[in-house]
Order: sequence, then C-alpha cells, then structure tokens
Amino acid sequence: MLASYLGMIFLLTTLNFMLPRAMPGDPITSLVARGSSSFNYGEESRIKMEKYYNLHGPLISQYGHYLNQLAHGDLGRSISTNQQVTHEVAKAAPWTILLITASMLFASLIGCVLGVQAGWRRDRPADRALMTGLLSLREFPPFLLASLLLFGFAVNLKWFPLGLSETPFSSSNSFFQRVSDIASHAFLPVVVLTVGLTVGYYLVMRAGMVSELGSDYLQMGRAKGLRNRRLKYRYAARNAMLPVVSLTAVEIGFAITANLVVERIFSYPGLGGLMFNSIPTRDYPVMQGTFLVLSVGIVTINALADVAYRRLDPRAVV
Amino acid sequence: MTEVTPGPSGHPYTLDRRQFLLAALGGAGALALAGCTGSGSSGSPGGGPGGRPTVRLADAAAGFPSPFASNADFGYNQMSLLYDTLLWTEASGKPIPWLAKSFSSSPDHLTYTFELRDGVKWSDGRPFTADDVVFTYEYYAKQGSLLPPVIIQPPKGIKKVVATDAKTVVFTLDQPSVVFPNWVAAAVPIVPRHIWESIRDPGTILDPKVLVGTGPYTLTSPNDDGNPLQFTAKDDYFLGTPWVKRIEMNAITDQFAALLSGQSDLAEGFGVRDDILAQVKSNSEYGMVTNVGDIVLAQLYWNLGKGGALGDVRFRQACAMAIDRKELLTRLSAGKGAIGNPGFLGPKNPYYNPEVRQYDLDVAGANSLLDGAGYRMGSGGIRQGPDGKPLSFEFRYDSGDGAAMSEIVIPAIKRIGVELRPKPATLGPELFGPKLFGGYDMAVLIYPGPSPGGPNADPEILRVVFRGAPGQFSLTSASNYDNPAFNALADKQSVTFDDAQRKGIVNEMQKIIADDIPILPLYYPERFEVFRKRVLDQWYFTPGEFPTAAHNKQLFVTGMKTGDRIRSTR
Amino acid sequence: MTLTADAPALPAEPALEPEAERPRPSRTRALLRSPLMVAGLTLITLLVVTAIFAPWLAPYNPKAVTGPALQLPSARHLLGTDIPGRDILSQLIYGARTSFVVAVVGASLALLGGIFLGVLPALLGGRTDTLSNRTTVFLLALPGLPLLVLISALAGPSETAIIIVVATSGIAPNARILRSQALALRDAGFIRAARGFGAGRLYVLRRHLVPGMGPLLIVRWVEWASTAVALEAALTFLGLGNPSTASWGLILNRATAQQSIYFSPMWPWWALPPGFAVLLTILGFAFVGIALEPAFNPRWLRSS
Repeated sequence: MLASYLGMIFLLTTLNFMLPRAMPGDPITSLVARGSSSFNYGEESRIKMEKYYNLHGPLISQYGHYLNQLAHGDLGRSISTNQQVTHEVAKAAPWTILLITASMLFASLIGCVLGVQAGWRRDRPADRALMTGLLSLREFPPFLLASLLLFGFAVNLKWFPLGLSETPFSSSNSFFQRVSDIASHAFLPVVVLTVGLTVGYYLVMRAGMVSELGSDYLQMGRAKGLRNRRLKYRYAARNAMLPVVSLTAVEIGFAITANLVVERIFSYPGLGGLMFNSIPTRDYPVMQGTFLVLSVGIVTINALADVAYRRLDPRAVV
Repeated sequence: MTEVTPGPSGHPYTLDRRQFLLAALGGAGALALAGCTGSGSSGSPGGGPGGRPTVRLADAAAGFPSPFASNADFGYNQMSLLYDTLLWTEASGKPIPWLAKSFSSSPDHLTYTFELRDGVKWSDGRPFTADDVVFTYEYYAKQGSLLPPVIIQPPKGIKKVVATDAKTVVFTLDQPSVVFPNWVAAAVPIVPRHIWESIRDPGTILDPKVLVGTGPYTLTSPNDDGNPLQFTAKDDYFLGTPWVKRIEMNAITDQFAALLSGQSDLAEGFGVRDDILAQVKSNSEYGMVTNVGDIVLAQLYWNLGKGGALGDVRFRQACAMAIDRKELLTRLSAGKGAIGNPGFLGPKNPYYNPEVRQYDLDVAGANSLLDGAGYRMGSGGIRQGPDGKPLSFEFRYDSGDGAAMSEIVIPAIKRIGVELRPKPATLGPELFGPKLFGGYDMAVLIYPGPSPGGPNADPEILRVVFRGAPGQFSLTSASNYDNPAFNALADKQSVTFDDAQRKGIVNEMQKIIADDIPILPLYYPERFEVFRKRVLDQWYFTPGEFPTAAHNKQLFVTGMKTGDRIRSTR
Repeated sequence: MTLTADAPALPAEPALEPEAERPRPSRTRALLRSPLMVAGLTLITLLVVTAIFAPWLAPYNPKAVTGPALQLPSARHLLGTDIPGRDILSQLIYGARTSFVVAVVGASLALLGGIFLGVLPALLGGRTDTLSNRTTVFLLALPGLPLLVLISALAGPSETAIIIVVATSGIAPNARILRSQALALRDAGFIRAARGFGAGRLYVLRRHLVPGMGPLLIVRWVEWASTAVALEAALTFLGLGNPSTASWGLILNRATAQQSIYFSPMWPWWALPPGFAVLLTILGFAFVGIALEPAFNPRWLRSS
C-alpha cells in the first residue's frame, strides 16, 4: 500500500521532469527573445545561462539535480520571474485551496440534503425530474458555465467582479471588508465548481438512502413510531454517509481539474493560473512545481480516502 | 559603439502579461478579464485636493528590480524608480541632466564630461560620488554580458571612464557615437561601489538588501503576498520630494475594466475599437494619449539566409505588392494606427522619409514581376522557381493574435502563385526560436521591437535592425540581410553629428531598405493610454520608447512633461 | 438494475447481473419513447445532419474573409462576422464537423483502448491482468486536465493531437468499468457452465461476452462522445487547438482574446452561439446516455 503510493509519487516526479522538456522550445530562447538586441548570444553565454538555470549537461544529471533539489524541498527558481517556485506555489495554493474547500463544502451539503430527500421519496416524478436535471447539469462543461456566468453576472449585470481574488490596491480595508471582498471574488468560481461537484454527492447519498430504507432497523423505528425527520437524518442518512467519504476523494480529483479552467477564466491567482502562465515561456521549474503539487495532492488525497475507508468499513476489501 | 541598445522587447504588461501569456494560450485568459467592477476601491487614491497623488498601475512585478536582474523593459522601468542615470529622457525625447547637473562633449565627440550634482545620497545614507560612476561602468564592462532579459547590457566602445575630482567624470570613447547621451548616459543605472564591489555574479543576487540606489523611490512592499508592489517617494531626494508620493503596481489582466471601475489610474492597449473606447472618450474624468509607430508593430519577415526565392528581392517585392496593408490595418486594428512604411521609420519619426518605394496593392504587377523573374506558374496555381522548386514556404505566426493576420496574408499571397503553409505556434520560444535562430521561411510577428526601438526611435535603430552583427540575435532584426552600401551608410550616420547631413544619410538608408525589403512593416497599431485626470494628467509617451510606454520616472518625480523642476501645486 | 440499487461506495467493482444487461424488446421500445431519448436523439441528429451537409448549409467558406470585421448580424451575415471578417454562422456550421469527428473518433478510440487495457487482460487473467490493472490504477490517479494541458502543449496546435489526447484520457476510466463487467461475466455461472461443456474461448466470446458487454459498451460510447466534445471544446478554448480549423472552442477562444472586447455590442453574437452549440451537443449525447443508463449502467459508479 505505502510502497505503491510511493512508487506512484516517484513515477509522477519523473513524468513531471520529462514532460516539460519534451515540449518544443526552451526557456532560454524565451529569455533571449525578450532580452536586448545587443545581447551577445553565443555558445558561451548559452552555457552560462544553462548552468545558472540547471539546464546544462545530459538529461540524467539534470534529473539527478532535480531529485536532489526536491529532496531538500526546493522547487528551484522560476526562469522568467526569478522567484522561488516554492514561494510562488505557497502564494497561489491558498487561493486554490479556498476555492476547492468552499465548493466541496457546499457541494457535499447541497448534494447530501438533496440526495436524502430524493432517496426518501424515490421514483416520484419530482425525484425523476431532479435526477435528470442534475445529471444534465453535470454535463455542463465548467469552462462554458464559467464563461456564461462571467458574462452574465460580471460583465453585464456587474454584480460580481470580473476576476482576481481580491480588489487590487485594497490593502487599507478593514478585516471584514476584506473578507467580503474575497467572498465576492470567489463567488462565481465557487458556483461553477459546486455545480459540477454536487451531482456526485447527490447520487451517492440517494443510492445510500434507498438501500438503508429497506433495512430492518428503519422498519423497526417506524413501528416504534419515531418521527420521519428523526428517522431520515439520524438513522438512514447517517448510515448512508459512509460512501460519501470515499466519494470525496474522487470529487477532489474532479475539483482540481475543473478548478484549473475556472481559475483561468476568472483570472484567479491560484495554482491553475500559475501553471498556465508558465507553459508559453516553458518555465520548467514552475511547470514542474505546480504540476507536482497538484498531482501529489490528488494522489495523497486518494490514498488517505482509501485508508479512511478501510478504517470505517471493515468489509471493504479493495 | 554603444550597442547599448537598451533593448527590448518585452513590454511585459501588454505583451508579456496580456498577450504573451494570455494570447499565447489563445487569450483563453479568456475573457481575459480581471479587474473588478464595482466592488469598493480603497480610500481616495488620488489624494485630496492639494495632496500629492498615489498612482495605481496595472503592472506585475517584472523580475527583481536590481539593474542586473530586472526583467525586460518594464523591469527596467521599475528598477529606474530605485536607481538613477547620469541623464534621463523626458517628453521632448532629449536627454536632460539627472545625476549630472550638466554635460559637455569635446569637438571631436570622443570625450564627454559630466558635472555631478551636489548632495546626492544613496538610500543607505552614504554620499554618492564620481567614483561610483567610474565603478559602475567598469563593473558593467567586467560582466561581459548579463543574463537576458536584462535590457541594459554592458555598453561597448567606451575606452575609459575617469573621475577627475569628486564631482566630475570624463568618458573617453573609441569612436564618436550620436546615441551616446540617449542610449548610454541616459540608460545605464549608476550603482554604489560599496554594495556591488564584492559581488561577482550580480545577475544571481536577488536579495532586497542590495537595492541601494540614488533613485526617487524606495521599494516599500514587494508584491509577494498578493499586495501591490509599492514604491514610496524619498523626502530627501536631490530634486525635492517627488510629486507622486506613492506608486503601486498590481497584476490586473484587464486594465481597461480596472480603470473604469476605479481600481487603477491608467490603462493601456492598442488596436481597441471605438465602440469600446467610447466609454472613456465621453467621460471627462479620463484623459487619453495615443501613439503610433512605437515598439508595437506587425511585421512580415523573410529568411534571406534560406536562399532561393527568399533571397530574391523581386520575390519579396511581389509578396509586398500582393498584401493590402491598409486592409490589415482596417480589419485587425479597427483602422486605428498607421500603415507600415517599407522604409521602416514611422511617419512620426523626425527622420521619416516618405519618398521610398511604397508597394501599393498591385496583384497584376506582382504577377508580372514574378513572371519576369522566371518564376513560372506551375500546376495547382503554384509557381516554380528557375531551379524547379515550387514557391511553397512555411509561414510562422502566433496561434493567438497572429491567426487573424494569417487568414488575410495567406490567401493574399496565394493570388500570386505562392503557397504559404501555415505553421502556427504559441507565442513563446516555440515561435521565437525559429525566428531568432534562422529556422523559418517566412513569419509575421506582432510584437514589440527593441526599445529604444521601433519606427519612432533614433535612426540608429536602422543599424540595429538591418545591420546585424554576427552573434547578435534580436526578434525584430532582419534575417541574414547584408547590403554593403547600406552597412556603410549605417556606420556613417552613427558618427555624423550634423543633423541635416545625418538626415540625408538616413533618407538614403530608408530608400535602400524599402527597395530590398528584408522586412515589411505591415501596420503600426495605435497605442493608447487612458488615465484618470484627477490623479495625474501629464502622461506622455517618451519618443523612441525608452523608457517604454507612459511610465516615465520624470513624470512621477516632477508631475510635468519636461524638465527636472517639481510641480508646485495641483 | 436501476439507479437506486445498492451502492457499494468505492467506485471500484460494479458487479452487474449479466441478465439485467439485455434489454428486452419491449424495454427497448419504451426506452425510445422516453422524452429524454427523443430530445437527445433529436440533438444528435441535428449535429450529424449539420456536419454532413455543412458545405450546402453554410452560406460562406468559413475560413474566407467575406465581410467587414466584427459586423453585427445582418441579412448577409446572419450571426455577424468576426475579426478579421469571416462569417460566424458558417464557422458554427463547419464547427459541427469537428465536434462530430471528435465525438465519433474520440469515443471509439477511448473505448477501444479501454477494451485492450481492461477487457482482454481480464479474460486472459494472470500477470497480464495484474499489470494492466496496475496501469489502470496509475493512469486514473494522474491529475486529468493538468496533464492533458501539458500533453496538448507538447503535441503542438493540431486537431489530430487533440483527438488523441481526448481519446487517451478516456482509456483508463473505460478500462476500469469494462474490466469489472468482463470479470463479472467471466465468473458468471452460465459462462462457466458453457466452458464446462467444452465451449472454446472464441465461442464464449461470441455467444456470451459480446452480448453481455454490448449494452455497457453502448452506454460508455455515448458518454464518451459527450465527454470528447466537451474536452475538445475546452482544450481549443484554452488555445491548445489548431487555429486554422473550424471548431466551436476556437470561435470562443478568438472571441475572448481581444482586449476588452466584451464591451463591444457584437461580442454576444460572437461568443454565445458556439457556447450553446457545444452545450446542446453535449446535452444531446448526455440525454441519450441518461435515458439508456437505468437499463444498463449504474451511472454513479462513474468517476470523473
């Protein structure tokens, strides 16, 4: 288990090293192109630059250097901005985490409540309509939903800001103003993510409810005259929660993916934006850093969910 | 000498950030909007009446603001707030005294003597002396070349720099240079000996402690926590307390939306349509300055080094005659700007020569030119060269902004029996690599040239772009163009100090370029800066684009367009 | 089997009852009459017809500059023109071709890959199965879109590359689901019995496995057609596609690339139609998928 997890991480770091280098164009050319026309470009200066950015020598030694750096928790320096990548990632990650946690929270709440209700009165027309509606909603590509919301609510109606995570130049605001400012910036991105995430919770919760409904203890409870509300939430829903835990892992994967597009459209300064901006300049360290953080994040959460699931349900043998 | 060509390219905001990054990804930035509407902007940014303004700009931090690590030309602008130069360029385009209170040159233009100002101090309190100037130039010379994209490379052609006393510096040059005051003395930032003397590789130093300069501002907040990059005026600056008391910069994707919603004080862009600009034009709160023919321009390149038809001037002329440059301007830049001049210098340049070959649209003429040159029409409507090779070339363009251009240029060229095979690439090394290193046939770039550069710069730019020295690569320079007659004139103009005489030479150079067309400037989009008048109303584009865009330190310090006297009242 | 069946939580092994897989004729007819199915098939038909008859339907060559730049809709250009002046309606119509091809090729390749990685090893068993299962698990753990973005950037701006990327991303999820079904079938009583009576592998494959897998394959195909269209649109929208093809994502990309362009009155005409075209196509496939699903496949087992 642990071995396969570590193996996975190792494969990811390797992939992470190779992929950017396989792309056409290199970061040094990008720098030269943006530099002065009086820069004397030659073998010597190229080697100097390559050495400075650790792009010199055979791939295998670059790879060794990269692993060594990683082992020391160093992601290198961005080639185009000269910033420490760890620093840039640390700056961007909280915004991404904010979007993902907020939308996961809303999605699980809304999805579970809808699921409980739907499961409780399954197969009625309302249930079918809700099911169809939610399944269709899930097909809505995040990039399209995000663009439409942006155009409708930010450009046209001006209810929400057009992008970024906070109002620029607002350092003098009070704490509460800042919080509401951040919330208004996060609102549309969170809506897009929540829409995509809710359906999964809804389906799992609904299915769980349905299977719990047939169980003996509920029949018993009914016979004892317990109130519906109590039965529904205290007993049935509680037992149906178990699958929700493992679903969370799957949903986080989806959230991270969708978040990439959402951040891009809302110019949200999270990891997605960081990664996208590093691609055209072939800024290897930033590409590697963001990709590594995102993928290790997904793998780790999956592994944790696995462990949690085993703990919670001794029957599960995966 | 002075290949200082403070150069380049970048234009990190509009190009690096908005275009270079976003357009590179197809502008997916999609709705590359940012900057927010409505939600409360802070305080009263402009300062109350009588108060000195804080200016908020939509700029990202461009590298580390030391002279040796700042990123391209916008990095240079940010760095220039911390460091001063001997002279500085103002709205007239003339260098005005800055750290030097006066300067003079010998009759043979081989020595320049700078008298330094009194009472100038480094930001750590130590006095600034002539020795620091000597140290700076020696230190630069020692570096060989600095890591790009630093734009101020060590100046060449300086024989020696001597401090004759604590306040006087004498420069001796290898040979005269017209652009020494503008491109060297007004470009090379003076750094303190006591900080850098012990540092061997200055490009690798990224510690804010080294940011000791004589400049009008100090860096009070690097934007590494989402806060704006903040520069605060020094009260004891040698010209007096700078007019703009604070400059804040923050990365905002859509500058225009940010300005309209009160979040920033300046928005810039180019080729924006009138129906969009209408919102600011009708509002007295905003002012606007425009510029045509600066570093942002669209150009068509042929790789002459590939030989064959590409090296044949008649082929290039036929291509030029097949493209309707006016149509490009109308369609791609909403008609705002100017049509490219085959002589390279823009219509606003004092050295502009309108009497060069213009290549108006003439498809029949182009076809007969090719017929006469022995390119016979072959099967499929594609001509063949005398060597039997079809006239079919790879055509490189940026898959974002270049796509619309390719949709006009490719069919236009097809009309004269020349096939262009589209080779879109993302705006970045994938596109630049082949252009820089000669691995392309034909290409269009909508990208800023070197600054000072572009069609409005000092005509020395012609030498930089068309007389490429071996080993020097620039995105904008002509590929493998080598005309001895042109080269001789180019070298002559840079040592000619009589303006009328120089004008004659430059006129001739433009004629040669227009006849040879190693590069065809397609159009110059109109560039605009819209500003909030209440905050600062004297914005201008520096002629020659150095410093680039409207971000001239001289304006921030004085609040005026010219001179070194600080404005007294609002 | 319906959507309300017992839910093993981990999306791992959907053990389907093979018998339930085969819709009886009456059920098929009922299926075809469901409003969702009708809506879905209508939308898909619309796509197919538009794609096939694009040259006859489109008023202009979608790549040719045929009018002034950025014109509001008029009699000549029903949806107006873009920059540099091409007819937007014609681009929209030709865009259907790209989406159609991506849907068909992308979904088919994704499924084929899934069969190779999931079904065949499952039937062979042994080390091949272990290896392929490990591969599947690894591929599933990779961060989806970040990887796709990197790979598309690597492959350069080309439509073929996008289709391959889209198809590749579908292999692992399909492999997992198809594999479980294949395992369930392999171990099902009637197949064991058939093997016991001396039926050859080929016979079992033909008589039992293919019919047993068929319905699931159809559902998966429809789902992946929808996913492929959405992915292609997203990737070209992000600027990773070939700028010289007609594609809905590309129209959107171009419509959003210009500075402050959304302030222009023309903007909604440029950006909204391709958005809705993508949406309707995706919904078309999705409706069919949803309508089929209760019969074949517990949808919530699908991970995204």
